Amino acid sequence: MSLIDRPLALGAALLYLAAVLVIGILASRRTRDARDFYIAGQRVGLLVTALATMSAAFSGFVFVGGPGLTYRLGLASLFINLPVAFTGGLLCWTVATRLRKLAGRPDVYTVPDAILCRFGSRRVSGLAAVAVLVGTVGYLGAQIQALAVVTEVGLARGPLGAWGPGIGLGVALVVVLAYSVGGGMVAGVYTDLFQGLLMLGSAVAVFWYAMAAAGGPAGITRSIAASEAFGPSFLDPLGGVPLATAFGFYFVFGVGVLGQPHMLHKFYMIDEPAKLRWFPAVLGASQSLCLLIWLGIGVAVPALVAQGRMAPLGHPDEAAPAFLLGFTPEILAGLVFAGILAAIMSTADSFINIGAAALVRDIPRSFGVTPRGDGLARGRAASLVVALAATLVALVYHDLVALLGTFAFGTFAAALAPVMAVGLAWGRVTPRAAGASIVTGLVLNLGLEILAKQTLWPGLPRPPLPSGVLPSAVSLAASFTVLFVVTAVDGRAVREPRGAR
Amino acid sequence: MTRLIAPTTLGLLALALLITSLAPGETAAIVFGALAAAFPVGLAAFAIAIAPDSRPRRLRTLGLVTLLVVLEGGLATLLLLRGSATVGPGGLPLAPLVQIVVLWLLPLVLVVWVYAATFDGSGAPPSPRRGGRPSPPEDDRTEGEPV
Repeated sequence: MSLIDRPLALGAALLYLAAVLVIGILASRRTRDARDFYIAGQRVGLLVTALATMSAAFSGFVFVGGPGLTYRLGLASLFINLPVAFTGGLLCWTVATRLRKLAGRPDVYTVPDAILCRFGSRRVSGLAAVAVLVGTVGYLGAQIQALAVVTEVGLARGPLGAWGPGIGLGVALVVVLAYSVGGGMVAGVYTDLFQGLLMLGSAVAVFWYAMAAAGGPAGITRSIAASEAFGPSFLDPLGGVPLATAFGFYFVFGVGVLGQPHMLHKFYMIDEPAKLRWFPAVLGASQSLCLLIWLGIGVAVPALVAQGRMAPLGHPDEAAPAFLLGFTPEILAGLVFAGILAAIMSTADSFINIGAAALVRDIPRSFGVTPRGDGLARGRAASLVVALAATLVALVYHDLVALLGTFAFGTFAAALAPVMAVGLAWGRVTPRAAGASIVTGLVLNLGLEILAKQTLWPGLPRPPLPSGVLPSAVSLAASFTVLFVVTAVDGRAVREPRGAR
Repeated sequence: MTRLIAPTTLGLLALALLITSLAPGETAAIVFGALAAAFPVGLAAFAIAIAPDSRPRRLRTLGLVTLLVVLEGGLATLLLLRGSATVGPGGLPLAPLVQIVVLWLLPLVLVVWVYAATFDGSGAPPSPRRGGRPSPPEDDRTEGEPV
C-alpha cells in the first residue's frame, strides 16, 4: 500500500507542504537584513523559541530513524532519549544566558561568532565553523536520507512508477529550500512552530494508535517476549546491545546537546531572557511527548511482526512509514506523514541556515576576509550549496538514518560541547585550549567514523576501540580532557613565565 | 576554592570517561556508565559554581545532588535487573518501567522544578524592538578571564 492508494492521506501531506510554503513566503516579507535572516530579528517569545528548538532538534532521526533503531536494537535505543529529562536544564544552566548576552552585541549571529567574541581568536572561530559545516552536511544528509525513506515507502507503486519516490523527494527538497533560502530564520522559526505543533499532535495520536493496534502494553510485551525474532532481550534496556553502546548513547546525547548549533542558535532569538525560566519545562515536556512516536512505533511494529500481522521489515527504517500505511486511519496517516515531513524539514531548514552562515561568514572571516554588504544574497546562495553537499552525503552513506544522525550529532558534540559548555563561561580557558579541543573532537570523530565505515581501502585498519564503543563517545571524552589539560598547562605557563626560575 | 575544585573534578571526570571508554571489558563499561550519568550533573554544578550570581545556591545544590542520586540509582537498578524477567505493576517488565519512570520522568520533573525555583532573571537585558537602539555590550567576563 502507498500514499497514492490513500488520497485523503496524500491530500493531508500535500496540504502541509502548501502551508509551510505559505508561511515561508509571508515570513520572507519580514526578512529585511542579515539579523532577521540569521537570528529572526531577536524578537521571538518563549513558546516559539522552545518549540522551534524542539522541532529543530527532533528530525527524521526521531520520527523515522528512532523506530527503525528500536526495531534493530530493542529498548536499549531509548538511552538516546532518556537525557531529554535533563538537557533543557543543562542547556539553560551552562550556555543559555551567556549566549543571549552575547547576542546583544552587534554581528553575533552564530556559534562561531560567540566563540570569536569570547576568545578573540579568528583561528578558533574558524575551526568551530569548519566543525559546524561538517556536522551540518552530515545532519542534513540524515534528513534527506529520511525523506528518501518516507517517499520510497509512501509513493512507491503509484502511477508515477519508479519515478514517484524521486519526484516526491525532489518536491519536498524544493519546498524546504524555498522557505529557507527566501525567509531565513524568520521563516525557519515560524515554520518550526507550526511543524512543532504538528509533530506533537501526530506523535501523541500515533502512540495511542500504536498501543491499541498491537494489543496494549501487556499484549505487546507478551508478543515480543515470546517471539524468536525479538525475544525477552528486546525488552531489556541493557539486553540488546553491549553496555558500552547503551551508556555511550546516554553520554553523547546527554552532554553532546551542549554542542548542537541548531539548538544553541535558538537562544540568540528569544526577546526577553527572563522567559528562560520556563524553557526547560516547555522543551522537556514537548520533547518527551514527541518521543512517544519513537517508543510507540518502536515497540508496536516488532509486536505486530511477532503476531504475524505484519511482514518482517526489509529495512528497519521502514518501520514508521509501513506502520502508518498499514495500521492507521487514512486521515491520521496523512497527518502523521505530514508530521514526519515537518520533523525532517524543520531540522533541515535550521541546518541550511547554520551551514550557510558558516560558509559565507564564519570561515571567510577566519582567513581575514570580511564580507562586504548585508550578506543576505550570499546567505541564500550558500544555502543551495550546503543542501547539494548534504544530498551527496545522503547518496553515498548506506546505513540507518539514526546512525548517520548519531555521527553528525557526535561531530557537533565532540568538537563544540567542551568549548561551549566550559570555555564560554570559564575565563581560564585559553584560545589554544579551545582550538586544541575543537581539533581533537573533530578529527577524532571523523577519523574513527571513516575507519569504521569505509570500504574503499581494505588495507586501512578498523578503529582500535573495544566492541560496542561509540566513536563519538570517545571523541567527546577526549575533547573535554584536552580542554582541561591544555587550560591547566597554559595556566601554569602564565603563572610561571619563562625565565622566572 | 569551589572555583578550583569544580573544574579539577570535571577535568578528572572527563579523563576517567576517556580511559574507561577505551578499556575493554564489562567492568570498564559499567564505570563508564556511572561516570556518564555524573558528568552532565557535574557540568551543571560547574556552571553554577563559576556564575557571577550571588543568590543562595542551597536549593540548586540539593537539586543537583538529588538528580545525581536518581540517575545513578536508576542505572544501578537497570544493571541489577539485566537478564531478569521481574514483573512490575500492570504485568509489565520492571526494567523498562524503571528506564522510563526513574531515568526519564522523575529527572524531568526534578530539573524543571529546580531550574524554575532558582532561576536568576538578572542576566541579559531584553532585546531592542525594531527601530530601537541595540543593547549595550555587557561585562560578561568571569573569574580568570583576561581583561
